Amino acid sequence: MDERAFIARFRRAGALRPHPGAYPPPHYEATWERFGRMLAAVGGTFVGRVDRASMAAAASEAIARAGGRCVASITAAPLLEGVAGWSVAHDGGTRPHALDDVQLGVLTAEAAVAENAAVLLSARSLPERALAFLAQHLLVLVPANTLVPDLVTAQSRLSIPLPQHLTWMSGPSKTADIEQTLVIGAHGSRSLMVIAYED
Amino acid sequence: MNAPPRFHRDAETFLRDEARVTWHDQAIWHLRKKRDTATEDVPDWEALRDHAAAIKAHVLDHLPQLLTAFIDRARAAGWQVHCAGDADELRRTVHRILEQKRVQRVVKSKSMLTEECGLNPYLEERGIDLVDTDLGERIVQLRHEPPSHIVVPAVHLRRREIGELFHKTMGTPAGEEDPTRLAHAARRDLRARFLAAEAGITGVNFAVAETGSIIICTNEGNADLGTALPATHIACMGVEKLIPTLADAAVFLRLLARSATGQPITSYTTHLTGPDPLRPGHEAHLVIVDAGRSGLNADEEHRRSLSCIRCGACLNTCPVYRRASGHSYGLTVPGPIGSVLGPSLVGDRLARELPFASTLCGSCTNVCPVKIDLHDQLLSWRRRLAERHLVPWPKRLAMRIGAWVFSHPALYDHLGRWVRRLWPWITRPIPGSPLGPWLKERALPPAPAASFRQRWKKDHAGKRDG
Amino acid sequence: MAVAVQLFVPCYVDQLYPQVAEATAAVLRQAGCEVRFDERQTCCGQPMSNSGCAADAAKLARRHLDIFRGTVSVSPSASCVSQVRNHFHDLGVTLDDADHQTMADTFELSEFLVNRLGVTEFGARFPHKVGLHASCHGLRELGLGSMSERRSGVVASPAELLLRKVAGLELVPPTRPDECCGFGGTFAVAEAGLSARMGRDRCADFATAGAAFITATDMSCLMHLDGISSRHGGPRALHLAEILVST
Repeated sequence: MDERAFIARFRRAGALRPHPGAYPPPHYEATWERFGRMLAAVGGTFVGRVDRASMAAAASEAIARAGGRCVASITAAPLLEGVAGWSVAHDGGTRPHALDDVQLGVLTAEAAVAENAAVLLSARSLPERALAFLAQHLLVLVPANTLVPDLVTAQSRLSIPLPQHLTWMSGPSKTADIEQTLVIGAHGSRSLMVIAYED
Repeated sequence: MNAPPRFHRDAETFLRDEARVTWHDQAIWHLRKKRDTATEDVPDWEALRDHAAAIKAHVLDHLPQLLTAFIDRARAAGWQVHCAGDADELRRTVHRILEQKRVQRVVKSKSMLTEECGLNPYLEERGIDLVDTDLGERIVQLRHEPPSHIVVPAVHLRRREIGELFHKTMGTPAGEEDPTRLAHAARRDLRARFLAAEAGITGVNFAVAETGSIIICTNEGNADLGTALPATHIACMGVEKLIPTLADAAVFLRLLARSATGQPITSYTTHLTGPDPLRPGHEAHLVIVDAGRSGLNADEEHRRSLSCIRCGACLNTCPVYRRASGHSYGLTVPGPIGSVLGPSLVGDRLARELPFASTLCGSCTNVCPVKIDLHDQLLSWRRRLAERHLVPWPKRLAMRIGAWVFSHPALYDHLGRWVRRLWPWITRPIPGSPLGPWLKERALPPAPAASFRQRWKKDHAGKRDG
Repeated sequence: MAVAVQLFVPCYVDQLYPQVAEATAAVLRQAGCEVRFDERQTCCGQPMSNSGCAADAAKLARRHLDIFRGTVSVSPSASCVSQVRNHFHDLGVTLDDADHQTMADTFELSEFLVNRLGVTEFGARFPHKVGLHASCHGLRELGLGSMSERRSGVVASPAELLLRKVAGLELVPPTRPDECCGFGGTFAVAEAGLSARMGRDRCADFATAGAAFITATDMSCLMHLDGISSRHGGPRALHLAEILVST
């Protein structure tokens, strides 16, 4: 239907209530300890806050355990120097279907939220968007100094214009649609491991 | 829409299986308890609700400005934006887009709006292979029945029933009823469909005017697969999903998952802004729908119910919903919010039983994250239905007579004596007696010889009052 | 000087549970009130209001306000009090300042005793396990306690306070703190199956908690629960006022 006519249907007369303003950020401890606890509660695993060497070691272990194709996002590649068993899918952004057989995806995140164990993925950190949802298992590497205490702070720090896709990812995929029984690994990843590394 | 509501009939039917009612009630009460636990981690919970309610009030007062800003920014970001005045226009618009792209196979993530508008049958009748990918939605789709809950669509089903369904439709072993194995079977089946789909249809949890973006929240990741793989994305949204800014989104996101399932946030909270520049030919369409919302927004008494963010908390806390089940309401959105929206969206004649499918206990009002005064809304609808003579005449007549009797204390007193005198006969379970339904399950006390006023009069005979 | 209060007696209490009104009067007298009863009163109009019949309810609201004008009234029924305080202004009745004062001066028994008079001890004795049912109108519309859904801190329940001072009485909490009993006025008849099922579940919750009796600030809930218990077996119900006059 005609757009102007459509919009006109919602016109209001009389007193129009103002926007209540910015919401003051709540207080959560911005600690990786809290992040780790919340991540465990939603079915994920927090390896810890470690140095680059330990991160590489943990990544190595995860790749070996995965027992199948391991694809790292191009933004994760620099962090996996010296680690074997992974490759970059250079057409991961243009041909997402080709990522269907990935056992382990290694991603970087731009930020993390202590309140709810979410990590930030976007077109900037993850040009291969489908990797986050097609990989059977995920390993996410996030710089330790990007932890924010709460979602209010986190959302207010997003810069405009937004990348075409941006996802707060908290834990692996899950469903409780069958008799309220929690099943990890609905359509997205079946496990999620997060490592916070000191840059 | 589903078959027209027949709440009383359907609830009474559901109640007959007492063990099933017990199970259904406890399963959904569990969601309420999880919500309570999650809110304990949010010391600012009540302030958050206040703020969310205020943002929504502002939005509903400024829809033209926000819509204009949203559409402008969405178009600038590459969305193809369509406005649909009603359900029929939504269906035709979506079909037209699919036809133009010669789409045969479609995956759809959860969208109450598209259910409300009957999109699935419309597309299926026109030869489109449409698969609902939310596990609960997929289950009810395969069973050819509507969802019974807006967040957990298959909550009314036992694992045995789902096992039988999957055995028939997905080839799982006969007798398999383990939820994990069943869910993983669905994962494999649906994965193939995501990969083969040519278009993905999604709902919208929030539409951000500031950036021309939509936000979709899922636990399964199905909306992400449904938008990251197919070459065309069609997002359908009710006008009321608009919020002003990204910062505002945080307020709602902190409320939504905690209210719905007791999680701090859903597994995936995805902001999409236009088509994917990395995939040549990728198209992103936005269909913005009215379908009764403008009428409701003009209804001063009830427009605040448009604030609903579809969390389902009111369903979970409602003692009636838990014992009647969603199907008794005959609406896409059941429970307290469904009973409040119903008269507006499907008409007061069709929905006339629903505001009465409640004891007005008020629990729903307390759990609503955007502070819709649900139980007061139900009462307000009752008044409107009575004004329009949509409340059964025997009830209205009884109230008229009652008001008349109560306006004449001597008559009331007299009548009271007679009722008590005839009590043993009145309280006999005679067929057709208005007390029949009461007496079926409950006894009544023996009638006292004297009413309080009779005793008081006797005690104070000759004295001044007091 | 003794506080003068008018008894506000719901119609069904007047006719079927006069002992509850008498106990209410006795408790108020014991708390130092001069208790009066205006025989012109009949019904506050709640059933009409809940049926959507606003004009009929308005007629009775106007009548109620005329009778109780200039008085402080106390009732053993939280739902009737809520009708006066919270719903009289939705019926299209023209209200003046005196009417608003009357509405504000209408109290449920336990809130009046505890919050207004500051009296909590009645020398009562009731050596039984008792479940306190938090009637929905009293809890959610009059604020007579903490609502389990809210994160607003602890709100004292006057009824609970009073019961804790009764000798020998042990309060046993149900698993669902404030689930509705299922009465709901005409709902009890129009959706009898649901109403009965809710009532049976509520009685069972109290029975499992070990309650020998259920009490509340609203006789309508208790009429419903007692009706179920007397038919199916389970804890019997009596009004808070009846407990406060027990010795």
